Amino acid sequence: MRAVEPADMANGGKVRTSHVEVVFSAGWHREAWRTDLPRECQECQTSCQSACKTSCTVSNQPCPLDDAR
Amino acid sequence: MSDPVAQGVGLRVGDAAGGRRHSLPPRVHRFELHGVKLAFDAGSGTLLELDQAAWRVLGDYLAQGPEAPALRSPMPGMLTAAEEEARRELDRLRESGVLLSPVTLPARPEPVLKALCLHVAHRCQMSCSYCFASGGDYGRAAGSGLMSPATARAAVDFLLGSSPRVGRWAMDFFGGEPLLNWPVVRETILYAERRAASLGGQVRFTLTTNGLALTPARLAFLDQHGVDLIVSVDGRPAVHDAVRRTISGRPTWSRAVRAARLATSTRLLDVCGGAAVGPGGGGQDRSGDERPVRGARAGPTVWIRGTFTRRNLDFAQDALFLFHLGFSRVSLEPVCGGPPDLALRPEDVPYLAGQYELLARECAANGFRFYHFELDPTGGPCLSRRMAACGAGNEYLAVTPEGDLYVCHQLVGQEEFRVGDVWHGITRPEVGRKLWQHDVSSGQCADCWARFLCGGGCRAAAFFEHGEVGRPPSLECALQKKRWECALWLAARRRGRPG
Ligand code: SF4
Ligand code: SF4
Repeated sequence: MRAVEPADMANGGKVRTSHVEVVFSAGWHREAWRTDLPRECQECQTSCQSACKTSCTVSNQPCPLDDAR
Repeated sequence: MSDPVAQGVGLRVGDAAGGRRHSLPPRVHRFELHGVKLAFDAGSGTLLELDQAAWRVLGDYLAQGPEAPALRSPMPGMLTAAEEEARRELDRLRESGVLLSPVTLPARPEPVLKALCLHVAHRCQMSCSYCFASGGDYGRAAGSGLMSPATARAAVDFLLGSSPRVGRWAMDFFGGEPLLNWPVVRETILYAERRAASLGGQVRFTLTTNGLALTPARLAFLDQHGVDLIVSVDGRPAVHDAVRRTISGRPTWSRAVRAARLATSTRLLDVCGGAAVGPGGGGQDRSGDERPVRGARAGPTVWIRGTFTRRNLDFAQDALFLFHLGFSRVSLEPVCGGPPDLALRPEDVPYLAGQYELLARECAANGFRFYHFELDPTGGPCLSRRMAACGAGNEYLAVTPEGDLYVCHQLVGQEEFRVGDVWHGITRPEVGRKLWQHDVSSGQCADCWARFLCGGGCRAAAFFEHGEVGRPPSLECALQKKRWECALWLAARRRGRPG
């Protein structure tokens, strides 16, 4: 068994111990604090620009900064 | 730190909409699917897979409610050795901030208009029983129902003029059936490209069609200009033809599938299973690329988008039917309102949940992409975007053939949601401001485990259910949450864990 260390979460890496596996950790609680949003943030998708056209969600929308992260 | 306002990009860092800026308490959703025990931490966006001991420890803890003692101080002697070990592991996760994580809400940037839905034709060759556009004309049969070239150009000028520094705009050609006004679609694309280029930007186009008027020549033009396509097919022929008929009552399934095949024939990424073959001669293997859809796009996409009703509660069969026809990207949308014999009801939810679960298992086994399961676990939008998905009335507007502006395509024809026109701009800004106040920072959404996956739901659905936009639509909420459970389970599977 290997204990889960906070450092294990730093890169969203997969961590497994005896009883729990971190499948992913998006880190919203950390990334949220951006206060100097770059211009590209204006490019994120909004509303029903997506395939369903009935009910917008954010779960499958891309972020223009994803590739830069 | 740079000042985005000083840079003139329209961003303002301030309090969340409505002047609030506060924390949301921890929220963990524990669920089991296809024998896999999972827990999703709503604050940090963390998915955990648990064994039996961890499942029980976490369950007991959550059952005690918000007043429960910290995970690190259980009553002595209550746990088995394995459970005590699991408790210590869970507590380490809590300490590291990925479990039971509170979250402070960030500021939401001031909205900027980015997208227009152009209703270039309030006309349709079809008369689908569930159509929210009342057969294409949105209940108002006045005039030709076709947008003029001058109105379309004014719409482009309005969009780019409203937010000249955005640099990337989006336009959706919608209807009715947009291909019934092909000259205007074509001219508008060329005009918008020229205008955007003169500002150093780009417009991304989407066209939503029933496919009946799609020709190879039109498709070649749409391909050349990178237009994403959404082609409507409901699934099995009998299901489709029961509700999607021409005005004269003729079935349309064959023609719709022919159009969908034509659309996918030039877009290799969307072909799978070997059933449909692209121009290069080979389909992709089913066991191939399972990456979620990301921002980077190899070329224009095509989604096959259908609708399901009370008449085909076994809609998973329709999705699978489409996948087995060779379409790899499929979206099926529930009809939550409208005619009583078609509209889904709260009592249908358990059965529909089972259908989503079945579909998830097939997606995992075959690499199919069901739109609502396409979760990008560690990418995607920042938290301020996640607080409110719907940009209706602010970042997104719909334009009627006559040039009237409505907050959203689904609310066209509802007078209280008309906000101006493309020549005079927004004349009723208070409507958009009211819509912008709603986000997941308060009300039912603040306590919902899916708040940052959802972003607060559809304002139109809320309006049609409750007569107001501020309360979540109940049936859609129930279905959305089941879809995310499936998406999370799929994410766990796609990371190589046995299911
Ligand atoms: S709209 Fe429904 S599913 Fe979405 S965050 Fe609100 S309560 Fe949750
Ligand atoms: S009101 Fe609903 S359909 Fe309209 S843009 Fe918002 S989420 Fe999409």
